[in-house]
Amino acid sequence: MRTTSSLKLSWVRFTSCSGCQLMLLNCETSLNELARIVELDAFPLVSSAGDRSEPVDIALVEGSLSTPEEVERLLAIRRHSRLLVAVGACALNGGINALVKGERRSCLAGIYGEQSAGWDSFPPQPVHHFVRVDWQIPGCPPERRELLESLGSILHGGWPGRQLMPVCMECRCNENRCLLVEDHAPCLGPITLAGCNASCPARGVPCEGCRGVVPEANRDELYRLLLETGLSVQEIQHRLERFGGTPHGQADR
Amino acid sequence: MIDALFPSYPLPQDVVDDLLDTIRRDWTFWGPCSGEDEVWRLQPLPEGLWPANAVTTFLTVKKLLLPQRAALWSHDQNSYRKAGAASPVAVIGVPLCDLQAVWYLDQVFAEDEPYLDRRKQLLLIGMPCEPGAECRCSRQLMPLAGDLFVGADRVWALSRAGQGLLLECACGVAEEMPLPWPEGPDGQRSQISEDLFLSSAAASIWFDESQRCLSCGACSAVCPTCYCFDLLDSAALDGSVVRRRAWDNCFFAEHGKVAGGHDFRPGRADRLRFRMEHKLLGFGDLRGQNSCVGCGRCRGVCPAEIDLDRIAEQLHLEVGS
Amino acid sequence: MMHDLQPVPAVLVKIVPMVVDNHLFAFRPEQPLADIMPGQFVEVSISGVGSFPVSSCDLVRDGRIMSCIRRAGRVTDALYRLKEGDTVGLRGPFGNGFPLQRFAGHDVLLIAGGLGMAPLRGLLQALLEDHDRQGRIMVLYGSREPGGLLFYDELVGLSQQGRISVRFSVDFAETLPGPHPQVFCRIGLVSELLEGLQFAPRRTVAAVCGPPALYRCVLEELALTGIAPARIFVTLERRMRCGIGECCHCVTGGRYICRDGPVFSLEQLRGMAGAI
Repeated sequence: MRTTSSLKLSWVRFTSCSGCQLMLLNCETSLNELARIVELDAFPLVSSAGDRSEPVDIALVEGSLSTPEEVERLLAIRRHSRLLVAVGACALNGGINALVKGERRSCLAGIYGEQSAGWDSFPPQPVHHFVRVDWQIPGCPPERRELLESLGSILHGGWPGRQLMPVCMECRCNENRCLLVEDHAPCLGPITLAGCNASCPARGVPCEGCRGVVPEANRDELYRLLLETGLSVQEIQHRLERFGGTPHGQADR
Repeated sequence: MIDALFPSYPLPQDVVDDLLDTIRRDWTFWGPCSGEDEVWRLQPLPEGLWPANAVTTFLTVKKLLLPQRAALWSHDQNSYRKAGAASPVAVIGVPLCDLQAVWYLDQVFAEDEPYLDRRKQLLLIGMPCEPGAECRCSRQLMPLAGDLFVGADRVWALSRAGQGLLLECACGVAEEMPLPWPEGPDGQRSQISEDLFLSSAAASIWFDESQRCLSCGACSAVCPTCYCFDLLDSAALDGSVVRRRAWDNCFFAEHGKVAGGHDFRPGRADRLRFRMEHKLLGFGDLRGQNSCVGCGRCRGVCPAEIDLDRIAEQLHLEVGS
Repeated sequence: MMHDLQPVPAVLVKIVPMVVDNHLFAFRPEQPLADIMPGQFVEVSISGVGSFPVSSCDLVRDGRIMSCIRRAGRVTDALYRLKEGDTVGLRGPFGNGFPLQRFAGHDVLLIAGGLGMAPLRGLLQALLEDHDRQGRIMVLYGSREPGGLLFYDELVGLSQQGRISVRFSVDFAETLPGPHPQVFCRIGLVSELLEGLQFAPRRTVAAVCGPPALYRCVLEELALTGIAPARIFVTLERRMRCGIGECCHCVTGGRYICRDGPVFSLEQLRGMAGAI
């Protein structure tokens, strides 16, 4: 059933490149329709107004968290939001931010110098480590179609159905030349969650795994195949770790 | 039935041109095309460019009969509207194994309106092929679907529609003749009986192969007789909804899972065995019909080099007495 | 029969909360569907979200289809957000249903676990409505806890009227239902309710519905009591997407459960690998 009242929407940004917001703003042909059904509460790339701590229907959360202040802000947002959606690789599994390795204090000092000595900071964490997440929209960046369809389904009181399948399947459906088999390129398509229409392999670029890992991933076998492509053990590990967060799962019924 | 004879006519060049012109009046021609990436795909054919042979394209005519994501209906203001109709396509250069596969799909979807709507729009034209290293076709496996088969100097009518076209083009006197199946590997494949398959549940081949299987689904995506599908909605911001039929795959973890979480095929080995059961034994009314037409596509695309025929042979060695 | 996979709009005319996250939903399709036999199922569509299969738990009355639906995932979640008067889509009915003629003239033993009571309640209604029917009806029903027993008051009521006899079991409870002379409830497995149950196996037909674990423990035990495996009927739960024997998700032992089933006799199930 379609709800008639407009949805109050807040876009919340933690540590991220704002690319996820940009993807929604890039949906030019849908922005009119979006404006008709959505009342914006906050949206950093659109308006300088911050969180108003007012109840919203949907909070779209982008980025990873690394300070206690951010966690407090996230908790407040969860309390004020009927639905909370984690958007993009950083929010889902820490993303590129989580690649930072080593002892935290020396990491900070290396980048920010002495001023960082008193900072309270921890390694970047995904949103679901702190609050209940109602829906996830993966990808770096996320797909426009998924952003719009998720909002579309909310109008009907739910979330869109999606297939948990690897990029490989979409890639074969599109009859792309297989980069892994034919060209021995280090493609992560066999273990990466589809939904991107295999857009990288379609352009000859091996899948980087930005959408996270499918539940059924056979990492061992892919590891063996990647070794055959000529990558070193370390290179393979880096490649698999770049977005290698938690697998996705949603009951269907 | 399987070793069927079909009316065959001599085919001089002027008749070929006539025939193609007649078909072009009502149908858009599709056929195998190869791009710079060396992948053969079924695509709309540029005018005047006819395939010399049938080609084992990456995907088969399955992609026209059951498109990867095809709208079934749309929903708006509380009424459901059937999705728009497909347009007529004549596919030329289809290998015989793929025509068998269409026969198989025709049986599965015999009562499925959206499938039949598309099927009626297709004119299927087979051509002779050069068997490749992966080819294991067998004329004995099952009947074939199709309308015409265009050989080097003869043309066969495979259906009433095909016969009609040939009569229209005045193709001379018909003779009942068998189709020119490629010489080669007929009968080389291991057949698996239901008893043997059922007693194989604990066979180590399932475990061994599933260790390597990536569950990527490539084999069933390219398989001409795989037809698992899911039903998916997409809602637009104006509230309208489209429900699509999208290819699914029995290798995916959700395939046998029910609400509440119970999974009837929880392991990768269970799912691999499920697919082999489907290929070797069939489901429902088609139980007992091996549906592997021997096109070799699955072998070609599997990153882990898993081979259905090798599994069948191993089953014989491991389980067969 | 041709299928177009297109639902019929149906009004959600009534929502009756029964047990937490197990509500009764009554749908009235705009154009009547074919009659739904006990054990058959329909696909409920929430446009923009998805669809799920559900059995009916009553006869179709005044064009209303009644189902007990558990909130168990993405699509049923969306259903639970709807209000009376909202519209859904229905496809079906699908499947074979219970062979009612095989129940005629026999004593009937219904064994349910959890939500499995829903389709058996549909069968029970059909049996009770058959006024020419002879023979006893015995219900054995197990749930995790007393609060999870569906149709509890109704079953107890029927038992008080002497129309059925009923025994409950629960996995755990601080206090058991009752005390009530007509209510038999104990802690344990539903299969243990068979202990001491007086019935004539040769005159009895059984119908069983529940989670997979129930089938593993109860079916062969039933056969051991002497009820012929051809008279023990089971309805299978599988992932049914199309309902018309095409999409392959529900296939078990080479058969499409959605079309050839979901009701099978134990005799049939023994020949279907992986069914139990």
